Parts: sequence; structure tokens; C-alpha cells
Amino acid sequence: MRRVRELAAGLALLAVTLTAALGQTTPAGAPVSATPPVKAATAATTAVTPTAATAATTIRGRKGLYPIAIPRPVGSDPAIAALVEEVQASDLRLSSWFSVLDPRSFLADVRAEGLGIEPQKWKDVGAFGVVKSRAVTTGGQVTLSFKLYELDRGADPTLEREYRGPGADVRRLVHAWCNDLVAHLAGEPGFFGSRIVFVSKRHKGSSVVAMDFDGHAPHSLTKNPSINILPAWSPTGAVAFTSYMRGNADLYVTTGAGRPKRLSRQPGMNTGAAFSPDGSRVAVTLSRDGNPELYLLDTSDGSIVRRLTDNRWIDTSPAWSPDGRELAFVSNREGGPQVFVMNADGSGQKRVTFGLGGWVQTPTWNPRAGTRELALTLRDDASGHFDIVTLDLTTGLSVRITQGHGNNEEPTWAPNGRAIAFASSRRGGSGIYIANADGTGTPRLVIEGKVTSPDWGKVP
Amino acid sequence: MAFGSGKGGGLNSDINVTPMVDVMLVLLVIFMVTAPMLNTAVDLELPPAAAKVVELDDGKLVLRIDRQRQLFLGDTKVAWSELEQKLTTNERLRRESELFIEADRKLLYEDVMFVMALAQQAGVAKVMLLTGPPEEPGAATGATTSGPATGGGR
Repeated sequence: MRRVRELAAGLALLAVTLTAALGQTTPAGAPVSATPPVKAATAATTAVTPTAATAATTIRGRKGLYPIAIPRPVGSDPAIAALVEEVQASDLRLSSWFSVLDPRSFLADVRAEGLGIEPQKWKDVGAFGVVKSRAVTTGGQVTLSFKLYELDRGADPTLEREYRGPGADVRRLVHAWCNDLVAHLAGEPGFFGSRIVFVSKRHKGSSVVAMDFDGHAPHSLTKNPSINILPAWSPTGAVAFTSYMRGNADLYVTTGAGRPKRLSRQPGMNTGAAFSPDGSRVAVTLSRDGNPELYLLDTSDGSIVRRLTDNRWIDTSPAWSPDGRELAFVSNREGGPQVFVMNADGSGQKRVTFGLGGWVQTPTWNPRAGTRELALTLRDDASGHFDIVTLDLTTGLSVRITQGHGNNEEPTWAPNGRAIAFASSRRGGSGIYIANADGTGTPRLVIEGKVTSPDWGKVP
Repeated sequence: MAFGSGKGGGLNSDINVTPMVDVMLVLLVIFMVTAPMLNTAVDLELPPAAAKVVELDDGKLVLRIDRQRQLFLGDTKVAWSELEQKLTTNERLRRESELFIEADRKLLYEDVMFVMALAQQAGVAKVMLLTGPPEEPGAATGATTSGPATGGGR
């Protein structure tokens, strides 16, 4: 017994020594200097917790991220297997619901398991879910088989799917699987396979570029050497943008093939196009009377359907509500730029941003049905930097999405409302980042470069 | 800029998060516990000691070192060279911060210490050293399923 006490004392001493020796280094597993998202309250409130509308739904009633293991698929083609693993992991990390386990921690013999699992070996590495998969290539066609195991739901897969397509379509097939996986586990749609358009600055001028939401396959939609800005998706997948290609800032629409069609060529600027959810109208800023005002255009021929604002101040940056009944916009009619909301016929204009500082711009509306929520760019009065916030119009609560990481501007929502993409010039890389819409987690860089004005399209 | 700061509250930008220097000293807490022998294939004999009895269900992550110095994380054999990686990347250790160590009584002190140091690097705050039941004078040693519920320490 006395020997035991001595052993215990020795061990405790050892522990202290170890602590001292390792004190300089952070334990490898611990998150390093991940700045917690700081939530800012509007003037009317003191403390902010995400509301029901903004809080991420839980998977299987579990709060926090769902730990999932994505072992490499079994199959003969190592390049395809690696791609299937990589795209799955990237999708699920961006989704706001999952933490993807480090494959180096795995204890199971993944190849020997095939499409089955030894549950205990996956529990021992902390997984709640495991996706086993197989990739088979025959004559240029790829067949991907997936099985999802939920470890607290027995040893049988809870979801099995198979996808087939040309070898060049592996990414699209994996995105389709990840959408099915999210629908199964979270009960709502994913945003995988959607695309983002943005502006890429060149030495002179700028191009409108479209890419997959995860930064893959960027390609320019404009060929002209002029300035091309402010792209926006139409509900059918066309892109409107403003270009100086013929001298004036006119509005064009392109489907990606052929020459862009000029939709509006009013004197002065034709900018900030936003398609109504049904696609029949385009809200734009026109300065034909010398002062920027908001108008509705007919999508088919660009004719003016209605003038929405009429005053001596600047009105700009229209954004549609998901039901098409309201528009948010920016006006300096009360001093600095602030965000206002009006009905789609121009009536009922009222300011909605209070206590967010003297400079608030670029509203975009959460596309999720049943929400009344904007994402905005504000200027942080303390740092002078631009940052992203969300503002719930029902409760008046705002949640800070970025803080203390350079300039962050021009938010755009994922089609399911669970993530926000924005342009950032932070240290560690300028580019487009994707953040969780509830302010949790660390934003992820999806494409690097001098880029602005992202607009996130639908899942095809 | 007449609407500079709304109703006077404005953003709560006074909180300066920059000097959030992490100076927390993480202490490794060590317990000795006695657990019923699991039907595992790992061949080892625990050192006897008076310690608190715990139930070891599959909800506990156990690192075993058998008489031949073979390592097992859970019931999976792991090479000594890859143990550090397996521990530091393990999501479950990160989540539970707790590791049970079951080492044969004849092992070298340094082998067990090596494992404990790795566990601490992996962020484990609580190491549970499994013991066998205390030795009766003159009786043969061996692990059975019970032990007095006294002792424990740090």
C-alpha cells in the first residue's frame, strides 16, 4: 500500500514535470488561436444568441458539429478514389454541419473492410458517422456507391446510394451524394454543385468569372478588355452584369455562350442588377436623371416597368426578398449609407439598420423561405475595417460573421441560407471565403485573388 | 454622418480580443482505477494495487501495452512509431480528454511514461491507469473482477 502511494506521488510529480516541459507548446490537438466569432448586439439589445432562424439545425438532435469519417473509397483507380474522398471532405467541411475526421487517426483497415465497417474501430476514433464508398470505372463511365453508417444506429448502413456518369463528372456525382447525405441527416437541402460568380480584377479592367461554389473550375464569362462589374445570377442560370465595353456603364446578360446581350442602355450608369425570384423583373440603379435611383425593368426587353425611388439622395444596391414582395436597398437619405426596405412597388420605404455604425452597405436577403434576414457590410467604427453581419429583420438581432481579419465585404448567401460567401482582403490570402451563416467556425478560402462582388447561384 | 451610432450603443467594439494570450496551464490528472477484465485478446497482467473500481464499457478508450510491448489502441494494434500521430489526430480523445492505460506489470517504467507524455501532447487531461486487485500476501497475482474501492490519487 505504501508503495502504491509512492507510485502515485511519483506519477503526479511526473505529470507536473511533463506539463512544465510541454508548457511552451500547445497540445497538438487543441485549436490554435482560433478567434471565436464575436457577436455584436444592436443598440436595442444587450446579448445576442442566434435565433431559431439563424441557428444551424442539429443532426440527430446533437448540438455542435457531427463528427464524420470519410475514408478513401475502395476501387482500382487511385486518382478517382482520391478525388471522391477530397470532394466529400471539402463539401462537408463547408456545409456548416460536420467536422470531418483526420484520416491519419483511423484505426480500421479500410481496404479490408470494403463497404462494411467494424463499428468499434470507428467509435474509437470519435466518429458518429462513417461513409464507405466504392468507385468503379468501366469504359469511361464511373459508378460511385456510397454507404452511410450511423454508429449509434446499429451496424447496418442507414443510407445507400449509387451514382453513374462520365469520368469527367466525378465532382458533380459526389456533390449529388453530399446533397443526399445532408438531406438524410439534417433534413434540409445542401448547396453542393451550386456556382458563384464574381469580379476578378486585371491589370486594367476586370472580368466576370463563374466557378463552382468550392472554387473549382473558374472561367471568365466576359472576353472584352474593359471594366465588367456587379454580376448577378438570374433564376434560370444567366448572369447579368454592368460593363463599360461600349463606353457607357450598360447592363448586359450572358448565358456563358455567345455574345452578351445588352439589356439596358439608359444614359448614365445601369448597375446593381438583381433578378426577382420569378425572373420577370430586374431591379437596377439608373442615373438617367443625374442622380442614382432604383427602377424595375422588364427582363425580356429591358424596358422600365416602374420607378421605385424619387429623391435627391443616392439609392442603390437593390436586393429581393425570397418571396419577391420586398426589396432591401442602400440610401444616404438620412446621412451616411444605411439599409432600407420597401415593398416591391416602391411603397413603405423604411430604414432597418440602426446602431450598426455610420456606414452600412450591400444588403443581400437570406433565400431561406420563412426568414426575414439580411447579410450586410458595415464599417467597424473602431478598426475602420469592413465586416460582415447578419440582421434578423423580425427580431432586430444582428450576428457578427467577421471581425478583426482585414476587410470583409459584399456577402452573398448559399442557396439554403446556411453559409455566406464574401470577398476578403485578410492576411493569409485575399479572395472569396465561405463562412457559416450563424457566425460559428472559421471562414474557409475557396478562391484566392483580387476578387470582389460574389453572387451565389442555385443548385442546378 | 448624423446617424453615426444610432441609439448610443453601437457595436460593442470595445472588447479587444487581440491580447487573448493563452496562458492556461493544463495539468495532467492521473487516476488509478481497477476495472473488470475485458475479454480482449491482448495478453497482459496488470500491476496489483488498491484502487477505485470502474466499469469499462465500450464507451472508454483504452490504450493497452501487453507483455511483449505490443501497443493496442482500442483493440487495434498500433506501431510505436505511429502512436503519436494516432493520438494527436484522434477526435475522440480531443472530445473526451480521457484515456485509460492498461499496461502489463512487467513493463519498463519508461515505456509507460512515453505513452503518457504522448497522451498529454494529444490534449488528454485525464489519464486513468488501470490496476489489478491488490495482492494478497502469499497469493498468486492475477486480475479478477473485483478490488477494494479505496485509494486513487493524483
